[in-house]
Amino acid sequence: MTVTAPAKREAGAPRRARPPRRPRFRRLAGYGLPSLLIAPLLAVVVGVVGYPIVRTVWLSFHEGENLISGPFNGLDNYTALFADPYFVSALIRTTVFAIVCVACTLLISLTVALVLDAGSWMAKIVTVIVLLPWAMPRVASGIVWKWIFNDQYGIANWLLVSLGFDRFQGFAWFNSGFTSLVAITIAVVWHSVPFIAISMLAGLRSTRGEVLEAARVDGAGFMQSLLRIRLPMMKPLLTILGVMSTIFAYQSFDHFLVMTTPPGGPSHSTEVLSLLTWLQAFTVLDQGAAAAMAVVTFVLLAAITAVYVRLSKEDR
Amino acid sequence: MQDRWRILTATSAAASLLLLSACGEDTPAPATGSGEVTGAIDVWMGDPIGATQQPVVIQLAKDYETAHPGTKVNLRFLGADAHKTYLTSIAGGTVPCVALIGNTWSPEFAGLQALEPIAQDPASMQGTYTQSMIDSTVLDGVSYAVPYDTGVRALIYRKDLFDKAGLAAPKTWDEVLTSATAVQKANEGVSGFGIVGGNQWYWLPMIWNWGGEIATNTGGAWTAKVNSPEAIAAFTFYADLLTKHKLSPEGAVTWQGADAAKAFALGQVGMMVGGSWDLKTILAQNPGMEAQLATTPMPSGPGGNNDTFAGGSNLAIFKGCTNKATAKSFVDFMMKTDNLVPVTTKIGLLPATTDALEKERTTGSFSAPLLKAYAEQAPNTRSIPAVSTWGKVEGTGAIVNAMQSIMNGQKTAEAAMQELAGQIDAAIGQQ
Repeated sequence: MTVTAPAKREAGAPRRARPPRRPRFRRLAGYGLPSLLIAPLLAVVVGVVGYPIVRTVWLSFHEGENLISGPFNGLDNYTALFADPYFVSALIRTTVFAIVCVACTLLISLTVALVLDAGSWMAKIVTVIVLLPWAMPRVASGIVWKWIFNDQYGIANWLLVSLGFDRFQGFAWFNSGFTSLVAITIAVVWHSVPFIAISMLAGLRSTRGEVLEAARVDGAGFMQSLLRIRLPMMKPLLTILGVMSTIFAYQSFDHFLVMTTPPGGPSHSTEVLSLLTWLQAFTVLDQGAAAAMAVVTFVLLAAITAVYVRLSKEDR
Repeated sequence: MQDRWRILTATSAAASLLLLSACGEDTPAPATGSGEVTGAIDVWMGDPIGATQQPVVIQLAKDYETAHPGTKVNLRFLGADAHKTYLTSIAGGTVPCVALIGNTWSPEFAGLQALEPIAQDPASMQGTYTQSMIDSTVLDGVSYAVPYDTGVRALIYRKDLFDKAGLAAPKTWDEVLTSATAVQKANEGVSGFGIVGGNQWYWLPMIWNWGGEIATNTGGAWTAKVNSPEAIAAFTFYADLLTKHKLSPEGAVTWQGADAAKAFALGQVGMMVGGSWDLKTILAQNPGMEAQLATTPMPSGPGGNNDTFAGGSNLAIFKGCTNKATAKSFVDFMMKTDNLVPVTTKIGLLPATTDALEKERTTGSFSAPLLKAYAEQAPNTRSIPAVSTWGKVEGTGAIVNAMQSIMNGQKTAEAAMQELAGQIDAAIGQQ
């Protein structure tokens, strides 16, 4: 609005002196041309983001056995989902997993970012090294972490036994749901820390300067200036990073697929929403049920994002 | 271009005559399309055709084009997600003409109305192919594919350790237990039996050995039988090998065949059920072990048989193919013993035709002492329930989950098998 207002005034001034074609062109330039220029992008966004979402929601209200769209069946797909105890436990499991993942990711990332921020020229080299896990394909990192946690030859057990924890001799991490999830959480956090840490580093860098200087003059310690000044200043960034790592955590799929046998096993104990959606779509071939699961995840993530945004706005 | 087209049609007339004579023998399928062997066909192949087998197949395609002027074989090799590629191509209507598909996918794709019938009466294929492989091509009494290669499992064991303990090759599952226990006791650091908790094909056939069935078909309706006393006893026996007799490390609950093979190659396992591919893995990782190894057909159970699962691939022609005459003639060409055996040998699996199998067993690559057991096992194989929705049972890991919940003590064998029966019924019982 503020952009178009001066344009109007400008167009109004020379009205008497110039022929009437000009203002019309200006008007066109004010609305039509930008819309025209945006149109291709809008079409791409609608086609790539809008259509799949609408289509998924549509599919979730229809039968979809054997990947063939069947008749409308109301909320049947949804009621069937919530009647399935494995889905409900997967929903809870995914949420708990996401909370733990996000908490660990943010804490570790902040620590890494602070170390990098405090560091000297060495920090630049370390920054590159820290970024490396991010550059690794997730499937490859999943396989490597599976080896690390191998019961017979894994380095994790060797390390723990060397540290004196004898019960980890031949300990089978992937035999139970809890220990599998511990291993997967470590792998997922390891993979998501670099990006978050580098983003936080950028945030921390922007909080250096006068404010921090003033606080230091007033006698604020490291923790005080971090908790009272730097982090609050970074709140918008932290919100976005929180949303992103939550989405990352809910999306975790590759690590679960690669590290557990069968995917989501042993005996359903590591099934998460993304994995169940995939199984439902591509092995059970029920696109209706799979779409319903995807919609549930989507709504859940949208709600979480809304909460984050709300929290970040509260103090402003 | 037009001239070339005329030449093509002229030569194809001769080629189609050749085809007609070839068709008459063992292919009761009705002729479809124009019947002329000319033009291009798309041929897709996934696993087990990998980098080492591709040159052989490419050469065969060239040979075919030379033998049938005017034809063009467009080969496409699929990656590990071949199953998904086929499903999306079926859903999208962009199917190939000929495809090498996993034998367990055959009823599934046929159920999606994607495959061209090969034989209205599968009995007409009897004797030409390994019986279990014929069974794998059938849906509702009609065969939809041509059996191509067969993968079977047998017992791989450490002959040196068995000789030292004065043990003979086990012939029954009870002997497997006693000899594995003896080998484990006598050799520090060696597990008696390589348990593969993460892959059902290493132990699901034990239900047959115990005299049970996975599912039975009465009047077109499938019912799960995994909650039968025989099936429960078979699963309990296998789980006990790990939990009660501790014949493998506890991590074997999630082991795949490759994990057991690796442990075997490291000298940490005395005996395992393994396919010829597992044997290959072991020898690739530890070539020096060849002299210490021996193989023997699968042990039999209380049910009096040693049947195991017939894995493998079938050649199928897709319904959406617009050049079925050429597709048909290409399949016939690929199935000729002289063309089939070089490929299966390169894969390390058995050919699915009885003629080629006999050749491989007596004088071919499977006549070697270590591989003979596999050729001998081939007739004693069965197929999974021939139902289009079987992929749901396999894909969701329901069977593996059931075994693991018994091994982990989360459920009693009865409860786990009851739940599994419910899941199998839900997946395949709707037919």
